Amino acid sequence: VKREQLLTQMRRNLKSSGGAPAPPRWTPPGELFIQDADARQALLIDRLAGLGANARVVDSRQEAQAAVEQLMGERAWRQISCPADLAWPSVADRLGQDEALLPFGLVEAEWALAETGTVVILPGGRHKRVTSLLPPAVGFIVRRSRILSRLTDVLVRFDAASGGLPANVVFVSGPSRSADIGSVVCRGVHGPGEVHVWVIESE
Amino acid sequence: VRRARARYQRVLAAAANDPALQEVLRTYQDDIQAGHDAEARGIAGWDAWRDQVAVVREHTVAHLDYYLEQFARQVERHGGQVSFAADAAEACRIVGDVAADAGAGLVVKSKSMVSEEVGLNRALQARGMEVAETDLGEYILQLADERPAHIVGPALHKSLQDVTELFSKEAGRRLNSEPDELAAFARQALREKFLAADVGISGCNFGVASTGAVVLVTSEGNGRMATSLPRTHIVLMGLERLVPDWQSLDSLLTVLPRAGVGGAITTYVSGITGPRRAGDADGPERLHVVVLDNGRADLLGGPYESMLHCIRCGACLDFCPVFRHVGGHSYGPVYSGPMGAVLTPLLLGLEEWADLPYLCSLCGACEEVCSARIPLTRLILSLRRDAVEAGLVPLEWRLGMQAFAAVTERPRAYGAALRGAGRAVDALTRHEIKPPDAILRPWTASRELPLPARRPFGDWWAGRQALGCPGPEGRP
Repeated sequence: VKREQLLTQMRRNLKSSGGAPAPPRWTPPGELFIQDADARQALLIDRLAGLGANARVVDSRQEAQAAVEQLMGERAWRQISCPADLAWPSVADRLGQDEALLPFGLVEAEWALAETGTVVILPGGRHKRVTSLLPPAVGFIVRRSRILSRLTDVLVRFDAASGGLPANVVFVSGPSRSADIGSVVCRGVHGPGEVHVWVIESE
Repeated sequence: VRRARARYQRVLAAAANDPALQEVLRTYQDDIQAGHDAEARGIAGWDAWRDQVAVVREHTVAHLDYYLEQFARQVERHGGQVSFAADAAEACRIVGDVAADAGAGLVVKSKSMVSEEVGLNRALQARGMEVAETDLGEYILQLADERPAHIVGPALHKSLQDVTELFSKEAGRRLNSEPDELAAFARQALREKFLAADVGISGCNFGVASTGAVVLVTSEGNGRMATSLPRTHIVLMGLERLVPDWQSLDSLLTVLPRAGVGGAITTYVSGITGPRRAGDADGPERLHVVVLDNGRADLLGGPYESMLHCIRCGACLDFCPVFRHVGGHSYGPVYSGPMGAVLTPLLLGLEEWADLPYLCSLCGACEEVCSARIPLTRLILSLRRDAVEAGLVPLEWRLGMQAFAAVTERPRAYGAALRGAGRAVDALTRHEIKPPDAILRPWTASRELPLPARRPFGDWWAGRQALGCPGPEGRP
């Protein structure tokens, strides 16, 4: 079916003038927006724990990196998937290429949403989509200054993004889960079943 | 019509007489209703959020011509391709052509009700392609060769034991009835498919008209894999799945998971705008969006336009007392519950599906919970009216209803009928006469037959008044 033919039929049925409409705007209840940064951070950590993620606050990026290395040591993970610009010298020689075989992926979140325990990632360039998808465990680094109250805050930013958005934006809220087998919740069905989040307080 | 009705009544009877299914349906509805209520209580302004969903959907559908054109242009601006399909056959042909062009031997799919609507899997298989459903629920159904029973939880009618049997057969060895072990098997089996697939097919929860983004709401991660790993990504979407811009998604993404799965958000919400960009390390090289009409455009500007406001949360199924007893398969091929009872006749033809609007007690529970405030019972009543006017209901119903109307519209006739019925019951009882089963059976098979009183209430009341007995509140 030709596009124009279908659009003409739609215009006729809708008695449309074809002009650009103004989308309806609405302000959600004010209590959903948390002004206090400490409270936002605390809610984020709380919600992540509720979703089954391991979330903790660290003072600095160096401390987050040390925590990653400690986790890798404890779990005997020899390799890691991580965008090159996020890697630091002591993991640079442990970067793997085939994510399907790697035990752990680490990425930096663009934003985090306190209300839902969500990290927002923007894969693109050297940040591969598969880093946060194929390994059975994934870690996210979140800067405290990037913690927003809720979805509303980030969607407004998407509309305002002057250069547009990358081809892929993803909201991740805890481990992959499914309740399709006998209504029992299983983790890690396709995506990572283990999720770590480090919130850097100084950034 | 008669053949369709007979087949349909067999399905209904089978569901109602299946104790295992009845147990599954009860448990699922009780659990999901509790989750839904908890999430609704857990966010400030729940009803206002739903009002806003209704406002956004109504606005978008009222200007769908503008937003659809804008969406298509934006997808193309970002390097994607867009095709329009008038019906199921054309949609299957276009998807098949794109997949064949991509050299597809193996296609991985994430859950898409529109693909069920057009019968995509069989069409691709007929062209020699292997199609792997990767949503865990859909994978279970593909192994069982069954249709989805619920638009959100397609395999909720399958017990743990059922899944153990199906997966064990597929694995060629006996698996334990442990959900985690079964999930691990599915993960391994499907991971191989993901890594080998040439084409990934997804649906589209929402399309953002202002930027051309396709938004997917998923929990397992299979949606991200199907849209990230294969070299070609095909999106199949109904033409009404749009919103004006990202901000308009706020209410929809706030309400959908809470109403649909009883959670504040699903694990993954992805926005996909075109194929991978220059310099991107991964992602599909080609993105093709197929926009399906299949009767939707005909609904615009008409009495059923509000059905296009539906966001497919499934809440109407989760609260429907009829769905609780008959299950999803009783509603025909794809869409079930109250939304299916309306949408299926509209998309697939009232002639074949005239019975669906009668799978409803008109209790209004669906309207009460509908995320987009669709007046479902009004639409169901309207479809019933259409079915009667088109002569699609059985002759005995029509004659019976006409007789009922003729009597109840005339007070004298009504009184006489009641007195006559009372006397008839009296006489039958006195002489121990049982009416032939064939006459009463169509009614009594599934309902009580209330016996008329020997003396109608109206007569009794008039007699009291004649004797000067006090009326309500002591007034004579």
